[in-house]
Formats: sequence, C-alpha cells, structure tokens
Amino acid sequence: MGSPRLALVGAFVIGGLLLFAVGLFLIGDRRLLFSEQFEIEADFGNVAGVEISTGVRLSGLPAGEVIGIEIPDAPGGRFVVRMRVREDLHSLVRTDSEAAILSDGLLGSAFIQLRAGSAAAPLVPDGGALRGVDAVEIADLIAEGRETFRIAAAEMVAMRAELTDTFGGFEATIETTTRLIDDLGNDAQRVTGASAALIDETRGMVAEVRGVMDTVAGSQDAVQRVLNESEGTMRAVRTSAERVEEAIARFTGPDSATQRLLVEAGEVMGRAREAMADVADNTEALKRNWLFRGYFAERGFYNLDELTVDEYRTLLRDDRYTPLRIWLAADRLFEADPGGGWTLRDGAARRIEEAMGELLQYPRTSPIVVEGYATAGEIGRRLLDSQARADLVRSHLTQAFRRAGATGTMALGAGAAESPSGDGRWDGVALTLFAEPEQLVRAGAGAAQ
Amino acid sequence: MSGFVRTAVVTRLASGGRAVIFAGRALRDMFRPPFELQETARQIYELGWRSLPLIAAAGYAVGIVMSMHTRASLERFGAEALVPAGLALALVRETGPLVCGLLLSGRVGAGVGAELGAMKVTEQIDALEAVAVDSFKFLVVTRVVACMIAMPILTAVMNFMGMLGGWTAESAVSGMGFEAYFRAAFSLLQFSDYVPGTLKTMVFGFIIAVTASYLGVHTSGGTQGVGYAATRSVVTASILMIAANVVLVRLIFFVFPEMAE
Repeated sequence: MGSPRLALVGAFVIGGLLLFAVGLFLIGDRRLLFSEQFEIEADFGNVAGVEISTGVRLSGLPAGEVIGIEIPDAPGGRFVVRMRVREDLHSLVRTDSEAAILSDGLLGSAFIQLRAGSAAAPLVPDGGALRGVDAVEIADLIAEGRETFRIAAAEMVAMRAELTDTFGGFEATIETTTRLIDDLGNDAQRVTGASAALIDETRGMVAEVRGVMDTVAGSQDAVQRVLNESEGTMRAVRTSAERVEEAIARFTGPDSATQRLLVEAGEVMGRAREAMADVADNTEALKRNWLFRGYFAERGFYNLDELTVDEYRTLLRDDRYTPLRIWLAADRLFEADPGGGWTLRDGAARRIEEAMGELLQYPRTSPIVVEGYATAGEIGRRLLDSQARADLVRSHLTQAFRRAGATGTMALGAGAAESPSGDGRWDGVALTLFAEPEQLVRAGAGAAQ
Repeated sequence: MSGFVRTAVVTRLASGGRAVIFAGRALRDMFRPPFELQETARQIYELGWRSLPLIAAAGYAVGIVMSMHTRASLERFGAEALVPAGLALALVRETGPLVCGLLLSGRVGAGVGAELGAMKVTEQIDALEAVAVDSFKFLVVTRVVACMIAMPILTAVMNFMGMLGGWTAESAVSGMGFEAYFRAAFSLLQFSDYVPGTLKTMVFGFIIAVTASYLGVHTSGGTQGVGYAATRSVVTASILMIAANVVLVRLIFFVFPEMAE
C-alpha cells in the first residue's frame, strides 16, 4: 500500500475523529463544561417538566443548566433544583434574584428563568439559594379560563334578567302614564261638558227671567217680588258660573293640576326615553365587546358594519330568521343627479312607503336591511352606487316611519340570486325584513282574521 | 416430510452456530497479534475512504428532505424554531447511524462477500494457508476492524452532512445563518444522544463485516456461488443490523435512562 493511500487513510481517521470531537465540543460548550461557572439552587413546589440539563436563562440570556433535583422528604415539601450558571453572569445574580420555571411557548420545553437582582442586594455566593417562583401550568390556566367564562356566563344571565326587569318596568311606567293621560283627558272632557251644560242652563234661566219680567210688568208688587226673586236667582246663577269657571281654570290654566300632571308625565316620558337610549347604547357596546360578542352573535345579533358581503349572504340563509324581501327597481326610484350621485325621483317616496306598508304587520323591532344593488360600471362603481341607493331609501324610511334603530343598509353590487329578474342580478334596492318563525306564524294568523 | 423439515432446521441451526463461532473468533483475534496493520489500513481505505462520497451525498440529501418534512410538521404548531434541533436529534440518535449502516451494508457487504467468495472458489484462501499465512486474521479480522473503525467516522460525516443539508433547506426558506443554525441544532443534544448513537455503529460495522466475511469464505458453487454470497451478504447483514439496532436502543435506554424521556 503506497504512501498517498496511507495518508488518505490517516486523513480519513483523524478527520472523522475531529468531526466527532467537534460534536462533543459543541454539546459540552452548551453545557458550560469549558467555562467557569458557579452553582446556585432554588426551591419549587412543582418542577413542571424541569429535568437535569434543562436550560437556565438570565434575563433571557442562556446562562447555564440544571444539574440536580432534590426530591422532598414528605408530601407538601418543595423540590430543590440545583443549577450551574456562567461565572461571567455572577454579578447579576443577587440575593433578591428569583428563579421561575417558564416554557418556550405551548410546544417548547421548560426552562428556568433567573431574574437579575437589584444593585443594592449582595451577590449570591457559590452554592447559595434563590427564591423559586412556581410554574404556571397550562392546565391551571385552562381551568382558570373555564372558571372565568363560567362567571361571565352567570353574569350575562343575571344581566339579561335585570334588563328584562328594566324593560318590564319601563313598559309598566309607560302604560301607567298613558292611562293617566287618558283618564285626565276623560275627566277634563267630563268637567268641560258639565260646565257647558251649566252655562246653557244658566242662559235658559236668564231668558226665562226676561220673559217673566216682560209678562208681569203691570203689577208693582208683583214686579218688585219677581225682581227680588230674579236677583236671588241671578246671584245663584252667577255663583254657579264662577265655580264652573274656577273648575275649568283649574283644569286648563298654566298652573293647573292637569297641566302639572301633563308636565310631569312628559318629564317621566323624557327620562324613560333617555334611560331606553342608555340601555340601547350599553347593549350596543356589549355587542361589540370581545367577551360578549359571541354571546350576542349566537342569539342572532349582528352588526352590519362588521359584516362582509359574503357573511351577509350567509346570514340570509340563517335558520333563525326568514328574510322577507320586496324588490324595487332603480328606474322607478332613482335618477342621477348632476354631481354623479343619485336622488329619489318623483313618486319614489310613495312607492317606498307602499312597499314598506307590506312589512308593517311585523313588529317594529324586526330588523330591516335596505339592500342596494347596481349593475352598471366596474365593481367599485357598482358598490358605491348600491350603497348610495340603499342610503337614500333608508333615509326616507327613517323620516317616514321613525325606525332608524332597526334599519340598516348593505351594498351588494350586482349579484342577487333571488331577484325577480331571473338572471341573478338586480338594479335597484330590496327591502329585507328578518322575521323570526313565530312572528311569521302570528302575522299569518292576523292576515287570516 | 418431517425428516426434511428437521434436516432443514438442524442445518440452519448449525449454520447459525458456525456463524456465531466465526464472529467470536473474529472478536478474539482482533486483540491477538499479529495485527496486520498494513492490510487493515488498506481495508480502511477501501471500505471507509471510498465510501465517503456515497455517505456524504446521501447524508446531505437526507438532511434536506428531513428538514423539509420537519418544517412542514412543526409549522402547523408555530414551532419552526425547533426545526434545527429536531432534525439534529433525529439524525444523531437514529437516522444517521441506521442509514449509514444500511448504505455500508449494501456497498461493503456485497464487496466483501463477493471478494472473499471469489478468493474461496479460486482457492486463493487455500494458497494463503499453504504459505503459512493465517487467512482468517489476514482476510476477515482486518476487514472487521476496518469496518468497525470506518463506521463511526462515516456516521459522524453523515450526521454533519445531514445538518448541512438541513441548514441549506432552512436558509433557503428562512434565511437562517450557518452559526445560528448549528447552535440551534445542538441546543437540545446531550452527550447521551451523541456518543451512544455514534459508537453503536461499531457494532453495525462488526455485523456487516462478519456476515459478509462468513458468507464469503463459505462460498461454494463457482462463480454463481460468488454472486449468491454477495446478495446474501447484503440482505443478511441489513436484517441483522436492524435487529441488533433494536437491542442496542433498548440497551442504551437502560444505560442512559434520560434518553427515553
């Protein structure tokens, strides 16, 4: 065997051994076998997956490894974890430093994080002890999360009950106020009617007196007697009229009890409206809160501003609602304005109100979505036009029917699978009322009667 | 029929017994002079050095493929950072030694089986004995020792080339630097992963060389028997090596229990 081959064999063996040694060095270097180090220990109630050779970090910097775990003698005792840490980091490890068991994400392995101590505290001696902070287990977090959601769900149920009571109270207040106003109106009508009858009666009596005076003018005694009787009668009539006027004034004057009652009733109604608005605002805020959003979404509350076109089309297939649509063509409702926008043409308001009339048999709380459609131009132009058209119709519905809260808009471009045109497109708007199944049954029964 | 089965079983058992004695003799003669260093060096050149390109290329390719698969799996859990360490663990613990062993059993097993088989059928082995050369020490022990030396070295080469391939794939995807990759790759490795995983390949080398040599020196049937011996060498050595790996892994877990965790 020649020298070159022998050299190659030597290179092969030595190179292989060097390669093997490099691997050993890289592993040893990571375990701080080739650098100065000091030992510390910390106690934990739960070692949470820490084992010998688990990494130790100081403020995020790789600093050493675990070299031993002492098991407690009795239940309830604490595990003592011994660590080897780089000597060049010794100045950062003080007696008030803490050791905590953390994890590199959900899938990562456990490691021990040392928190650098304060400058005022003395250095931890070699073999010294640090305070251990027990690990937070994922299972504990999940259990805590479940408890939090359980409490949140209970709070939601309680809040719903309170809201129901509050709405019930408002309804009772409104009914009482309405009844009071009706009663006051009836009383005032009765008093006014009685006063009018009394005045008529008084007028009749005056006329009769005048007749008596005309017929008995021949006899002085008789005249004198009649005059005396007439004066008595007139005084009685005047007194009665004054009382009637006072009574009427009490009901109709600016400081009258009726006026005060009406003012108070108005104030009650105003406060009721403000409270209802507050409740509506709070409920709307709750719907947008991330914690309760799912709760409201499950019960069919949606925010049109947060829905994409596809999500809205999916909503149309939701079993909890039946969308009732009335299609209105653009050529009968809109005309282009000089600014490039759209306005309602003559007669459009009447057509919208006629269409809306078919939906008035459903509760005012039923949500109505004005869907805008446009077929002309690019996709962007179509969406802009459909939004403008929907806004115009919604604006008119808000003014004419005062139901802004339950009326929204959705710009859907050209696609309308159920449109009467038959080609899956529509140019105009559609009034879509989302009725619940029991509402449909009630409306059907009402129509049958 | 029963006589035929009994004969077959007895023949197989006898063959197995001869093989065990053959292996024991090889193990014993390794430590008995003369050591035939020149021939051993020649065998290291033939079996080790000339296998280097095959092992390096295979290791690089295996590293690339494993990196891509590991990344695809870990990416689902957002744990791409564990790709280098996961690849290194898999390579060093099992994939590197086993693939290297299988490749070498293919290349060396066939070569040794055919070479010794040809020497047997052409009576070259008898000629060596005639000139007072211990043919077993000269032909078998040198190959066994060479294979036992070459295997750990080739395994180390395969491991590093696999990591290099892994880095190539990873840098192409994430632009990760060479030093950062190798630091991450060795971040989870322990001595108990690296040393037993590499040194157990000496056993693989012993099995490959002994099997091929045994089948080679017991070749009969002319040139047809030589081809048959080469094929049987590859198959038998591969099966024995895989079976031995199972036992070795169990043994390593027993000696280094932290590896099983």
